[in-house]
Amino acid sequence: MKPYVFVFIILSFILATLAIALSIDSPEAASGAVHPDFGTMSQGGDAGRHEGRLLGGWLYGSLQIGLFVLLIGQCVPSGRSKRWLIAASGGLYLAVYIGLILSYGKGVEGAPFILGFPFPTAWLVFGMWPISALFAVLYTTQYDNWIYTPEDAKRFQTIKERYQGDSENGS
Amino acid sequence: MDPNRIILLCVIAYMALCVTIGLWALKRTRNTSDFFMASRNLGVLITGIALFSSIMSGFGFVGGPGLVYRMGISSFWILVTTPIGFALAFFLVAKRIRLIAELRNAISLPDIAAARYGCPRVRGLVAVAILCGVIAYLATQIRAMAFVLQEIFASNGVWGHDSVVFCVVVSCAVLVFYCVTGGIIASVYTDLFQGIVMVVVAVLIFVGAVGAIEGGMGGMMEIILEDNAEAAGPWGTLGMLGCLSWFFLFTLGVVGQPHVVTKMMMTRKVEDAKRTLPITLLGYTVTALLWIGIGMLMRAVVLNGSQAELARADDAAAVFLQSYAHPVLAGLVFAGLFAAIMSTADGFLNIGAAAIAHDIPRALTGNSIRCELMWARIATVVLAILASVFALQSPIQLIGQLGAFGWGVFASALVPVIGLGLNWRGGSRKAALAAIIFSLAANGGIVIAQMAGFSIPYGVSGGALALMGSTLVFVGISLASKDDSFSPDIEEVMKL
Repeated sequence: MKPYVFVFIILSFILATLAIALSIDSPEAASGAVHPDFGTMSQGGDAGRHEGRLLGGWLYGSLQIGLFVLLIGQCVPSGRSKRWLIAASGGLYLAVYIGLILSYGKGVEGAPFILGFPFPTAWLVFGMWPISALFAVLYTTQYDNWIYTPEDAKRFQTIKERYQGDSENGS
Repeated sequence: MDPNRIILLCVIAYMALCVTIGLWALKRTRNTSDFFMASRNLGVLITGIALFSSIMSGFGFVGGPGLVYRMGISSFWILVTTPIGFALAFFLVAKRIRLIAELRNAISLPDIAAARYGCPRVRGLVAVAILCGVIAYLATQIRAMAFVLQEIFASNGVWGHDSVVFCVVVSCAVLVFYCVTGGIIASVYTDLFQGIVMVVVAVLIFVGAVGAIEGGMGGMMEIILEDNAEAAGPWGTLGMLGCLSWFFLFTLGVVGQPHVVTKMMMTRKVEDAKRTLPITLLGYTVTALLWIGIGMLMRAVVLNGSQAELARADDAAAVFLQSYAHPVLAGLVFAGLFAAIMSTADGFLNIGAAAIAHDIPRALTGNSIRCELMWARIATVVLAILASVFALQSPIQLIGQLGAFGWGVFASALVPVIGLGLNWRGGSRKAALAAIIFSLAANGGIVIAQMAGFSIPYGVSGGALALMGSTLVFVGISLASKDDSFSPDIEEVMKL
């Protein structure tokens, strides 16, 4: 199946998941409520506000990760070596996200602190954040293999020589 | 010396430097390719820094800490996801946009869209979407500049400090001067300086903020958690669905920000992209420390009673500087704040001027106007005046919505048309037109609905919904239509 059929399917599922979530009555402080003592701050109620919704949240986030990784993957032509690294990085991204969801499910209160953050938040800060660096490392190190090979550069020179002059200034 | 005087001197010195760079760039701006594309001669370092400083705007330096103060961890989702958005933007756009720019001598994003789709209507609609987003976004930046300048003038007793019009005129005059004289060359070289200032102050502020409370970051988190565990959890007070909608909007949305992707057309060589991305990511991540440091500290100190409650969440940065930072550092931060705002605003002025002086005339008549460089300079001034009037006449509530509208329009109009269209031969021109029209209608409708008091449940972002919708429209219509024909040169570039 073509990658953009998958993009269409994943996007449809993302919207459907969101539509189902939005159609359910929101519990108190679902998106925060004004702090009782400080009017310029909000509070998030208790963890019960996400009860029964974590699975939906996992699906919603996982589909997004799937979409991003699919979009990155389709930029690399099939047959190029080490293409599996994209899938592996996507798998790691998903695993970190699952770690975040599972640790949040066990509760923020009483969770151990990792480098100044409660364990579920540490998954976000020290897990999901550095993953972007991983994709950047892949882009940088595999550029000549995946994105723009020396052969691509030669072909582009040929294209330029053949066509430039036919079109001028942004036509 | 009076600390407020130090701050004022830092800001004046910063503005003087921007004017000097504008004069220097004037000599290097001879034609529209120089004015809009810096003659595709930018090095890796300057492009990398210009890219992140374009995204980390006044919102990042003022609104960001305010969001952490107000919502706890929620806004970390913007910081955590924008870098992956940069990676996605490089994978999806950087190579092909640069190749088409070189092949067709393109000087704007609508030029790229016109080349890709072979359709003047796509060029025109992309230009209109950019213009709508630019005016909205520019208005928020101008208002932010005036707001900061008003505070500085007030604390120094400068004449006219109570006049927001006076502050708009002063800040816009500097911005417009260097944008008109030096075009994108002045813009990216001021971005370079602005980016360096932003990185330095972010590190200093983060170290200062963590050291300002016993126990450092852990100490702050314990105070926040004790008050409300959810605020210290990974979703903050906004909750899971709201944060995940930011995840979508700020990851995929970066791909559609014209002030970012246009700079990818300006590098000296196609291959420069591979070294530019790490610089951009590093710069963005370091400057994000300011957002986290100030926001967390201010929430913690207000909660533990050592600081009075802030009048507004967006005062977090200003109160921090007055209460916890050395005057010289505070002066540097205010200069950094101006840097953050101006580095975003100058990019908008440049792409907006291109839309007015280059793209819309070409979409309407098929030809470039005569004396395009002169008209580009005039368009820059007109755009700044329009956005200033818009900023001054709009209610504050609308100004906040306009920033979100701008990001939402760029993301939902340009992610499918440029981000996907440059990678997928099947993306059709009908689909591109439909996606842009959907984007403008959806984002406009969301702003109107929000002004009327309607809010989306669970704090879900309207921009994220518009982006999902427009992408689905683009992919769906493309899958249902026959493949369009391409110009032979673009056909070959699409295969690379």
